[in-house]
Amino acid sequence: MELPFKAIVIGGSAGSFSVVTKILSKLRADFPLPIVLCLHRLKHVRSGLVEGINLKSKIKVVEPTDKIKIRPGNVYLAPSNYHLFVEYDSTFSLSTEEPLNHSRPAIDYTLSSAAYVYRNKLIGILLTGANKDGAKGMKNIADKKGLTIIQDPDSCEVDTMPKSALRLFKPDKVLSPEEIVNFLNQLIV
Amino acid sequence: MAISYSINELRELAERLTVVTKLPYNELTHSFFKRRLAVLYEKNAIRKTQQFISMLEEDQFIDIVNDEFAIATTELFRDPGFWRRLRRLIIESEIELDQTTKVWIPDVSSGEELYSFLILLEESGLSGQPEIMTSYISKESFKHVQEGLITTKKAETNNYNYKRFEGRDKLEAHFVKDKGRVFLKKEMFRNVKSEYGLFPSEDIEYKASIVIFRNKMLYYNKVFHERLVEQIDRNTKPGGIICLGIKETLPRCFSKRFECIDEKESIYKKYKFLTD
Repeated sequence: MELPFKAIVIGGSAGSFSVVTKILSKLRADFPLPIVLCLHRLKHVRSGLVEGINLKSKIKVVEPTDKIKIRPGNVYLAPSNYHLFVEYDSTFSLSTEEPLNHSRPAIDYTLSSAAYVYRNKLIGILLTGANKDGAKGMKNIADKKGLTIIQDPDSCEVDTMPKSALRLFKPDKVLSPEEIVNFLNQLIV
Repeated sequence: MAISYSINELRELAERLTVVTKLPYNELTHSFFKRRLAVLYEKNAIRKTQQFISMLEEDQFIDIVNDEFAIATTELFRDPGFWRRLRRLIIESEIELDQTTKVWIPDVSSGEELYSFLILLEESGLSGQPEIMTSYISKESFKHVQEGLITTKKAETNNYNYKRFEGRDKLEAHFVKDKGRVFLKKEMFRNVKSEYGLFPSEDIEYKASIVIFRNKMLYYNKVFHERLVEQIDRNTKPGGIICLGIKETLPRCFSKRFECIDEKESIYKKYKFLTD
């Protein structure tokens, strides 16, 4: 089956752990698209987050090492204290460049690099969070004609992040976590 | 306003920079090159590519370019678990360090990796023993690191990392203050040698016991990683170790020359039986 999309990229901060685990626990185990997660996290804590998400996720979640190939059906979590970029040859690049929006990993970087590579074949999702990181990245996805979904601010633990994005551009969809899961699952029906 | 460039334009610029600087700009990853170029243009109010090309005729500007592409290590004792492991390898004589041995730290940028290593040596009673070879691609970085200058902005992070490293003293015991700036103590730099460029020339072989090359390959394309590691291999003695960033791996083709002795901290040991 030819899917209209090649990848999904999800950004989130405060409150996003529970939303991400909810999405990954309800996605079909054979979900075919690569999912790239960029979540704000404590930079000094290297382990724990990926293990925590894996407890609930039906799809194995890994932290990519530098230059690994992005493969369908995998979930990748940006490592702590590194920025995560998507390259034109469908590999990841990591970086220790200065934080952006006080964040490393910065959601804007991951989303924007994916937008340039996948263009209209990308789904960008921005979840709950306490700063404006991710808003520009989502706008870049929209500018490249990718599909944009923002978590409904009313369903967010902290709504600063989705509201910052909503101020910048009009997304394709504003959905609650349950609706995001339903939307993604129906892509492969 | 941000300048947009085509892929071909970026390639041409990278090639030109390679010729002008004799550094492998043409091997940088596309996203990194584009990103740093955008920062460089913004900081220097460059509006057109032609303007940038003209500016490359000035030596001073070339160093500004190199400085922009030399990425800071970010903090002292980044990844404290790595530094604890390295200290253990040294203390337990897994790696022998004395006056006859060398340590190589290529591509020093903001200096924190070098400072962390010098502090480790000092606290292990080995300060001034191994010869420490360093290289720089930015003259600005070279100047700051020679002075032992460190930014105070990251003091909290540095102290936290040092605590997790389980350092012997207080971190501040290794530094001096002068006119509001903070410097690593001068005496800790004895036996540190420096040169310009990424790697030594072909006729020199350091045969280092330890090579610290953490988070430096991140910015280069995968094919070039093999050439980088070839250089490191050539300058590492059999039985010596190379330390990469915790999210970097040695290209697979080197598996017959190096064994991974710590996967989590990305430390590789060159097989002792190799005679080169």
